[in-house]
Amino acid sequence: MSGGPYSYSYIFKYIIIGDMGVGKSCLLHQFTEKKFMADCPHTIGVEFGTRIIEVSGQKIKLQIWDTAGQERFRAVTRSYYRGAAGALMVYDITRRSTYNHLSSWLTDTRNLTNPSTVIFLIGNKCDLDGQRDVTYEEAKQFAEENGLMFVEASAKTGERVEEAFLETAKKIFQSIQDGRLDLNAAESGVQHKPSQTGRTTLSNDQQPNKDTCSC
Amino acid sequence: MASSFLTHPGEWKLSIPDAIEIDGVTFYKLNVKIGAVKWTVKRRYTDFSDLHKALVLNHGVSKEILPRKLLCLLKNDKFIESRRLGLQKYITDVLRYLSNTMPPVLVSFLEMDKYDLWFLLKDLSYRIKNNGWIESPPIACEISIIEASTISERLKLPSPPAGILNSQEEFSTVLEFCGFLKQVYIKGETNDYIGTSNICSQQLTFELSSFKCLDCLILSNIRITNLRKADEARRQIKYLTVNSCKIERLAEILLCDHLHLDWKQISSIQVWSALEKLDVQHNNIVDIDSGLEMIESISEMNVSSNNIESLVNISKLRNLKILSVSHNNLTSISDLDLLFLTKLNISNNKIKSLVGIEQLSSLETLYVSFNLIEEFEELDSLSKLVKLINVDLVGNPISQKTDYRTKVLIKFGTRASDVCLDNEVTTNHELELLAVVQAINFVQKGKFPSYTKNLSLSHI
Ligand SMILES: Nc1nc2c(ncn2[C@@H]2O[C@H](COP(=O)(O)OP(=O)(O)OP(=O)(O)O)[C@@H](O)[C@H]2O)c(=O)[nH]1
Ligand SMILES: [Mg+2]
Repeated sequence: MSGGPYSYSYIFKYIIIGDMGVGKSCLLHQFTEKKFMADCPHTIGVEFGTRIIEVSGQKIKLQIWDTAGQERFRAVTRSYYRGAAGALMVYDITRRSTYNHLSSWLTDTRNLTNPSTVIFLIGNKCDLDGQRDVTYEEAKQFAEENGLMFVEASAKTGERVEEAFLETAKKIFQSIQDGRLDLNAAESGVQHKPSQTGRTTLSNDQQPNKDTCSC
Repeated sequence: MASSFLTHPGEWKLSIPDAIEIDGVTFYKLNVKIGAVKWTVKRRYTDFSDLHKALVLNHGVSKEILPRKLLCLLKNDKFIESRRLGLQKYITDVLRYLSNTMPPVLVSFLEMDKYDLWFLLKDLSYRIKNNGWIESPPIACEISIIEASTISERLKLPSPPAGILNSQEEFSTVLEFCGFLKQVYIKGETNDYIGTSNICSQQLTFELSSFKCLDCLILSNIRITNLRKADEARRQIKYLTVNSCKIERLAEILLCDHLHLDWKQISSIQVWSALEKLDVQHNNIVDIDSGLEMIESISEMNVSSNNIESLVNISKLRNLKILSVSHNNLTSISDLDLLFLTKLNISNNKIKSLVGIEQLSSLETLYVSFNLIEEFEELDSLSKLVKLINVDLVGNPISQKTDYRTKVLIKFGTRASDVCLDNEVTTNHELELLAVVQAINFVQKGKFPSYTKNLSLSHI
């Protein structure tokens, strides 16, 4: 089930990025529906999911954008980085090329998000250990060098999928508490709902715009 | 598909080719064209003037640019012509000036919230937020075909930079809302085009993948082949209604997004595994053809108002409890063999006989009104349906015959008192009459009236 009309005090925006076929949509599906989609079609553009989680006693709604890995959708994918509080960067442990492309995904992420964005590296398909093409150690080292959090997970078995999404949220929540993440910044990717009964503080675009005229 | 103002910057044109008079009031026909999409709105001078006031007040539009209101009693052609040109220049200048802010008054004046992708979604998200539908989502919602197709289309487009529209926020509101809905009614158009636009309603495709909790889907006036990404929905939908969609074969609905597949390629993915009820009234189905293996779980089916001639295949639906095939071209029901069927509606067909109905041994309710049954012998099989308690034969030639009720009721033997014929319970008077008839029969046949279950008095 995706979320539900429960009360929550924060909204975090996530994106999931990585090469095509690494299992991004399956990870999202496993996280939101607790099911594995064996024949998942390629993502065309983006997909979306939500789930409410709890971190340190706070209810947080995750709004997750799952992007297309195919090169031809790169413009669409790039347009979703802005304002992401968390970025899950995924490769497939059975395909080395998907690991080799991580540096380019990381560059995009650094360029298009803000410094407080939490980046979490996921080596997916760890259920296929026999076909492993990337060792745990080298990926771990890559993550450490670049200051990323890291797990190997499986969208198929569900192993460590929760962990990846939840740890990311914990880190974001810490940043909020440390004051490293400015809630009022437009692109923080976090919205705070001060009162439990209040309405979500989404855009205030219904207010009339004032502009000065010369025509 | 809807227009896309944001991705066609500068590719728009506003023109007022015409003014028309309706009941003494002059309307200006304003043509809006964005990319290849165009539509027309009719506006009076006062509408322009109201827009102008709002724009002057809140959006810095200069007061002088609207053609002056003239207290001119003689609104002759020349006056209207010059005002037409003036308003055309005015509205063009306004849109050019405000194209980066797009205030809601301007958007609705140009009806961009009806035909343009970005403003359609903005409007939808505004309605969702305004109604508090994120905090307490409704269970059911009606979505127009253009909205459904716009949501799908938007998923494939880059989010525009923050600015006019807080587009990503708005879109996530819409998607989140769609994700909660359990019952969705997607309403197509009976016209070829959406509103006054050149958006062809038959070309609007839409995906079901955004509706993640769907258990009831109602489609009407939709071209079913325009439905995409239904795999998840197939596993979840319990109630599927597809009305007035010009369907000729059941397979068109059941395969929908996989229509290209050969029957032999059908795998478990295509099975509507949760489906309980299928309603395909008001289509052009001739045959209940192959494809039934994809809906084997269903217990209720309504195929009324189609052109069905035979029920041969329906017997594959072993779990069927309720079946409605009224308003079709059935001539016989002898093919029907459904052990669990409790309710059957075959009214308004061309059926002459109920021979074969004895196979439906669980049947409790039978509607056969407005058919062509003429002879009492054709009803003999009813005597074998020991659970039958409701029978409707109204509008058959037989119901005009003398002693019609008695002659039908006697088929039920001792159960006659439990039966409700043509929506009327058997009266005491009728029961007495039945007893007399049976006594006569006893005399004729030399048998003692036994009142056994299979009492057959069809020869009276
Ligand atoms: N064995 C195994 N297979 C997986 C796992 N995750 C995904 N897959 C399979 O990998 C294929 C691709 O998965 P997707 O989730 O569609 O990949 P994606 O990253 O979303 O791909 P794009 O949308 O094209 O970017 C599918 O056939 C999945 O069944 C996993 O953890 N283990
Ligand atoms: Mg995908």
